[in-house]
Amino acid sequence: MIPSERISADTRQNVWNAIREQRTFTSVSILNATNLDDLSSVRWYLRGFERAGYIKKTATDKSPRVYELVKDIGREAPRVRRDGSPITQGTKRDQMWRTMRILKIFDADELAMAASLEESPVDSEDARSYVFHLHKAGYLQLVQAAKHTGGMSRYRLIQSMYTGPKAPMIKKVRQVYDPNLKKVMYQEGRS
Amino acid sequence: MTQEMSQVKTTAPLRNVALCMKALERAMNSPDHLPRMVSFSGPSGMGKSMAASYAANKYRAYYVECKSSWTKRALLEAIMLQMGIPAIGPIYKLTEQISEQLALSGRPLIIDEMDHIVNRSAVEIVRDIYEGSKAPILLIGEEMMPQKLKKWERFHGRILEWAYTQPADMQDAKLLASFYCRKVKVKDDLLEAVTKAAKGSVRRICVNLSRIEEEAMGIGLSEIGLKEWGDRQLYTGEAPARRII
Repeated sequence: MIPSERISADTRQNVWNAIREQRTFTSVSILNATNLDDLSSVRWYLRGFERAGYIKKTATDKSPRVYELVKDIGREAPRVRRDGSPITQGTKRDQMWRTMRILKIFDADELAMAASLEESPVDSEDARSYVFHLHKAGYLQLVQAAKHTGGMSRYRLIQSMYTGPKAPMIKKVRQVYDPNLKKVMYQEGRS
Repeated sequence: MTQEMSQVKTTAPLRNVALCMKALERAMNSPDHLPRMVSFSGPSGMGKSMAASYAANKYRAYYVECKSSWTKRALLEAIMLQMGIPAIGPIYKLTEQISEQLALSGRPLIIDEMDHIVNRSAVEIVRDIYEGSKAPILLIGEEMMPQKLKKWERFHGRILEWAYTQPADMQDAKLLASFYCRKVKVKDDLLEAVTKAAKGSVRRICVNLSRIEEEAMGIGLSEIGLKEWGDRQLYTGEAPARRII
């Protein structure tokens, strides 16, 4: 089974942490160092890291295969798929999350504009939905409500609610999940 | 359809965003024997935040904004929060961890409102981080920041380039109008008046543009120029002149 990319962010990070710790390793040594329960998901991540050039098989032809870390990019796990291609999902949310901190006060359109990159444009609708949910979840403070003559509500990111570098996620079940705190911050229908 | 419409809209073409990116990229591509710190400074309202957020997104930079009360440790803790590393241990350990993460990840560090720590020993910490990582670092601050940094001689010599904001021009106003005035078309003559009234400030252009849109919608116009605007005032950032009746 292929682990879902969204849910597995923590797992990928755990595998990466173990790799960095051990430098030279086997899939079994990684399994033992993490709380994963099967070897196949460890191998799934190793394959991706290998194809993307972060780890390499050592020259031995013994079994089990011994790998080594050849490209250490620091604490954050590389976001790659099994085939080694980069995962871009979630990067627009990351852009918005980063931009909110820098702009301080903004409306959804301003956020979309300031967060957009040529290669990764953020559209207004997405920004509106993200801002709406983050406000509900208590990250944003309403600074100025939209006037009925037009204009949009302006918000401020509450400083103490900058929980870390990972953007809070809106789950399909209409939850706001904070991967830094590993906690659900808002659930639609509950208040 | 104009060509502009088919392209993705970003703040990249704004004059000061482009200038800031050029400075940062110069630092990132700087050969080993040259320094990798650059400074970008200018008065407030010139679009430094837009520049910082574009740069931060483009290169997934670590971004911190200094507060006037910050000690060395506060600065380190803020950077570590950005990196998702728990800030536990003595100052030298934190500095090492930050340097290591910067060096390995190859991502730049952006320090905004650098002015706030210029009179504090926190400046020395920035130098330590730089020495330990040789990572590209972008320092952003107000107009006087470069002068203030002079007193830290060992720091000053490690700056590759001192870049300064430039006044916003008509090109900037056009781009900002395309962001801020979606429902109303602002004619060039009014945009020119806005640019002039704003005296180079991105913030004042934005304030005027949203007023113009609001006003135009209020009187039911889909297009507005100098003629329609009439003798309404534009926001210049100054208190209105006293009128003698």
